[in-house]
Amino acid sequence: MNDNEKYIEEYVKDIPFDAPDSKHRDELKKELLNAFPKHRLQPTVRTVGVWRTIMNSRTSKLAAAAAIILAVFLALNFFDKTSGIVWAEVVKRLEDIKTGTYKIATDIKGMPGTAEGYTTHITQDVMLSYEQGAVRIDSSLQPPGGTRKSHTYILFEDSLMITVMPAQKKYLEVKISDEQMKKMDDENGDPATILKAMLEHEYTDLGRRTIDGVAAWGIEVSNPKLGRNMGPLISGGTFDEITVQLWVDEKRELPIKINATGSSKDGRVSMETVYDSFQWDIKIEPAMLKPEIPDDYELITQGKWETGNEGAEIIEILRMFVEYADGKYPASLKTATVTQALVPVFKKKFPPGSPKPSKELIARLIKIDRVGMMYTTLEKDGKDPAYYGDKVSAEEADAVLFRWKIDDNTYRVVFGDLKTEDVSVEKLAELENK
Amino acid sequence: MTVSESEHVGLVQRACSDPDAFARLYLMHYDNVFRYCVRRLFDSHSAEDVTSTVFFKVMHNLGSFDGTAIDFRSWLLRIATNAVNDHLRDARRRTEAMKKIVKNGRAEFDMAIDCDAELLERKIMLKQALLSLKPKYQTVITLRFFENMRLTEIAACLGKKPSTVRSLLSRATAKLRKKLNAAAGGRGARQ
Repeated sequence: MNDNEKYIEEYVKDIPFDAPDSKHRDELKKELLNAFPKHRLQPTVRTVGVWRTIMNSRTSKLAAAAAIILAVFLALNFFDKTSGIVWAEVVKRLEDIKTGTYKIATDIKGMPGTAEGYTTHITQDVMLSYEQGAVRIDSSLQPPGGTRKSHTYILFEDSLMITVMPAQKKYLEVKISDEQMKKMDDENGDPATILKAMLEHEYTDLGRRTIDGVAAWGIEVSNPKLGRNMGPLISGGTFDEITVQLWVDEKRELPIKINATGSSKDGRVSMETVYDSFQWDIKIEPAMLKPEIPDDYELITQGKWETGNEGAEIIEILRMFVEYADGKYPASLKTATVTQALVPVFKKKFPPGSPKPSKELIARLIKIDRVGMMYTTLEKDGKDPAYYGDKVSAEEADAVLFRWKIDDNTYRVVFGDLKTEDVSVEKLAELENK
Repeated sequence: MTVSESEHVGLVQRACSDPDAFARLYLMHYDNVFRYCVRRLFDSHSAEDVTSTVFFKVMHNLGSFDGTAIDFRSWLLRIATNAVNDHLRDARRRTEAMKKIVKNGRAEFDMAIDCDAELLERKIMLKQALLSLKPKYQTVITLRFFENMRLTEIAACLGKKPSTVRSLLSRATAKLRKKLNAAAGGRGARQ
């Protein structure tokens, strides 16, 4: 100890300071306990997002099991403190969020239904409230020749998705099954879902950078499987390459920017998307999350989203190619490919001024949006799907067009003429070798 | 309230999800955090405000802590140090604190009935001198002379190398001594 230190030590010795006040100690204890994060009281259900508030006990157990697996995974792999950000903590912080708003700006080049090379701009203002169990997405899509605006409301307690198109005075309603609702909650493309999905893959630490004037840490993942966690716009197997960068405000440890790029192998479709303008735990008036549908708005269709019958739904989509496209099937079951193949057919069938398509047809058409997701679900669920639309047309009545496993020893086979047959593994091999 | 090392580790783990365990952990450490804050800020109301901030941060970040009881004390003091420095970083607040010290110093001195007058005068000079230093110097001085931490402990708490802490402390004590001497000279000249 040098002279200066000895001097200071001697100087400060015995100097009196105020003692702690038990009244403050008790008041603070009460405040802390009142604010004790509620999700921590039930740690096993904390990763199930909006759904956690409304699930029944049966599905709650399933979700809890998934959550435990995720928690173990995070604990083993992602308490990576070397980057300066504990990513698992960011996930937890996001799960503590009660409300949030952010913007998504997406440019898609080669979107189905547009001219080759045309870039479609899409902006989305997202407002979500885990307290109210609702999400609102105000979208603006700029296809050639105009802008289409819509407001989509996902009402978790009612298992309902409503899209309102004010300019057209139209709306559509889709009833969502419990299973599908949970799937949407898991894959809805909100920042918590994206971050969790990124942490499940090998990621690159991008280090510290100033993003929009804020000191931030980033990670990057390149993996086409991320697409299914980026919301319906990007899911559906359209992109063979997907790279996502996520930047977290170093101080608040919450996301400030997400950039994603994607491209198809053939280079026909590519996209760039940016999530920013994040605001967390802000006041959202309940009225903002309730659709107001004036009496003169027309319900264009009512649909249903379910899981578990993907194979049958895919057959229904393929049936449209028999009915409207001379039996020439799409080359793949990617959403973009299917849409690309059907759009010109329907444009021709329903030119401007012709009678409008029926509600039933619209209900069938809106399923196309999910065809890629359905196929991916079959793959993910181990149902070993295969599709041969690039080789088989409706004329080849006995050739295998599509098949998936319905139990350990049986496959459901869909032939070129869309008749189906359940066959053994051996029989399938025989049919596919024809 | 004393607990063994393993009990403390268990208590920290439980405190992440059990409010009662968190309350127990809080009560074990409240006094230490308050004392550190009041020695940094020389004002019990500000110290209480910052102590509140510290425990809210602890509550939200407890899940990321995975060390021993000794590490926990360092972790807690690191959070407290950041909170105090944030509080002081606001230049306006710092200026106001200085003005308050000058204005209230004499009153505090006059009101002291039970305390040693010389000690109180020393405290007033220490306040003025210490708060006029940069927060990094205030931090090492408080940790070293009030918390009685060793260089290695301070280094662990601040996430710096012991050699860095050594030179910080050397500069801090030299500056503080100079200011205290100047203050003592000035006060002597006024009396």
